[in-house]
Amino acid sequence: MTKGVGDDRQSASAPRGQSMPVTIGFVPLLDAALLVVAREEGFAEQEGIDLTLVRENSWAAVRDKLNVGLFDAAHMLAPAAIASVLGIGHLTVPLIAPVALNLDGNAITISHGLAAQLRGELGSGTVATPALTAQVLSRLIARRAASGGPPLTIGVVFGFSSHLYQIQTWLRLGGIDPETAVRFVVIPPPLMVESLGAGLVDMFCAGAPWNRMAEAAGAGLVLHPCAEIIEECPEKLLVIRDEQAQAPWATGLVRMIARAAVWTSDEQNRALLARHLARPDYIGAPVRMIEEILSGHVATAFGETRRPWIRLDPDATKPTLARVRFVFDLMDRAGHISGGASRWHEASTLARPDLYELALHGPPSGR
Amino acid sequence: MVDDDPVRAAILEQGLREAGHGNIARLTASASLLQELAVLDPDMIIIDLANPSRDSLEQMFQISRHVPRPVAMFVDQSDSSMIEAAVEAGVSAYIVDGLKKERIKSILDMSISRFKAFSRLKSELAQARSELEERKVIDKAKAILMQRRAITEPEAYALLRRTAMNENRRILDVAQALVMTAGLLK
Repeated sequence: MTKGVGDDRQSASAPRGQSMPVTIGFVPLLDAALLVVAREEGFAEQEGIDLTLVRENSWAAVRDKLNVGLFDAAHMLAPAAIASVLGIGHLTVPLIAPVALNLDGNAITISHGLAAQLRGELGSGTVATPALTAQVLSRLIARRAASGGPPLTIGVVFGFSSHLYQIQTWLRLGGIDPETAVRFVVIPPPLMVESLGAGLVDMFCAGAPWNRMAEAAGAGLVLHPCAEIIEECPEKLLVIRDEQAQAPWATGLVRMIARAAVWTSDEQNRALLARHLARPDYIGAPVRMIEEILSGHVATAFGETRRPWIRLDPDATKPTLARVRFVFDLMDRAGHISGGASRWHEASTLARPDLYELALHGPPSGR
Repeated sequence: MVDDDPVRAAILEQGLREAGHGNIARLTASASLLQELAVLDPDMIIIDLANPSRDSLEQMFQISRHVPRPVAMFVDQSDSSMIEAAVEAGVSAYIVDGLKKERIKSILDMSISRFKAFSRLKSELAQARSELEERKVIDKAKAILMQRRAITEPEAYALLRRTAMNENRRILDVAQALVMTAGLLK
């Protein structure tokens, strides 16, 4: 347990009796949960932060509004944050992550048609591990190509995203070349369900709750939570612009998220958390669906897994160098880092474990 | 131009044509947007900042197999005030490498001012609508008073005003309360 998270010490930098307005942009996903908890359960207020959460439809909009200062902080895909720091695909914006928002949380969902084909190949009684399903998929892809069918189309939510890297990793387990054997398209999560239902994509990878939403709409079935493919994959970060590192609210942001993570880890708060998140101004999904995802018990197309679907616990909020390195390596493997591994030094400036430690434990001499 | 609001799109298109940027295509966010763009091969794409298709669009530029020319996104990094003005107005733009800087600036300036004019218009319209609604409620309240108390219209209005002043409320609030109560007593 992290020291200082649970205590009621007031932020040292917050001016007494005066609240600091902070605006944070987010995309409707379960991994925005700690932001919602910080606001709804009073952890932001305890830090003297008057928190406004603004829901956006696209990662591009979140990024642009953060860049020009319309947002003070943002819920952001770790790879998209690295791309901003390195100026890949868009403007160079020095961002820093003093705290992370979660680990894992994504899942692969397949169409009913593809599920039927996989079922036929798998036979009964087999444990459908990712390695096995990828091998079976490899046979299906080969057959499809031989009969002159269109390539398998896979939807992901952003070009620079763990979703893409997780699917690529899974495909390689079956000897499938993700560069040539399949086609990737980017579709925003709310449109993913329709796209699968309409047959525009054969499968997609997105964050919760969109996989279960697709099931509820009768569009497909969850095949694998991505935690089965890459364990403890860093997912969303809370990022701010580098120039704001010394802002009076910066350490308060870290503490409010750390405290929200402690609150969220308490099973007794799960039902209330689900109700907060279900609200239309946050995620807008059924309460029961959200509760089921948070329960850590995941029923899939060919079985179930007891691995947590998403990690929102205090350990998951640490913005460590190792985690950012892990994401950097995934991006590099996908050929997304122009300049390659030599740019790690630049990219490493994103991770600010020092600010995290400072916020939770105070300056080193005072420990 | 990619805009799902036909009125705003029309306002911007007119402005751009008047400024001599004649070759404009209006598209909406649809499943075939990327194919349509690939066929059009535009020099510049103006898109509503909040359009959910932007993530798809950006990936298309990254992969760029569909687009024959490399695409430099947004505006020149050095011009941060322009970027700020655009984001605040809700304009997002993608520019193909090679387009002249002065042209980019003139198109963006036009887009920003037209987007702003449109949102001003929209809020004015919303205000006019609510003013109209308010007037209707007050008229109804006056009619109720005139009927129940057998008084003239100016007397009814004076009564509303006096009540509002005495209770330190707005005439509209008093009128609304009166209309609601009358409805309950019907």
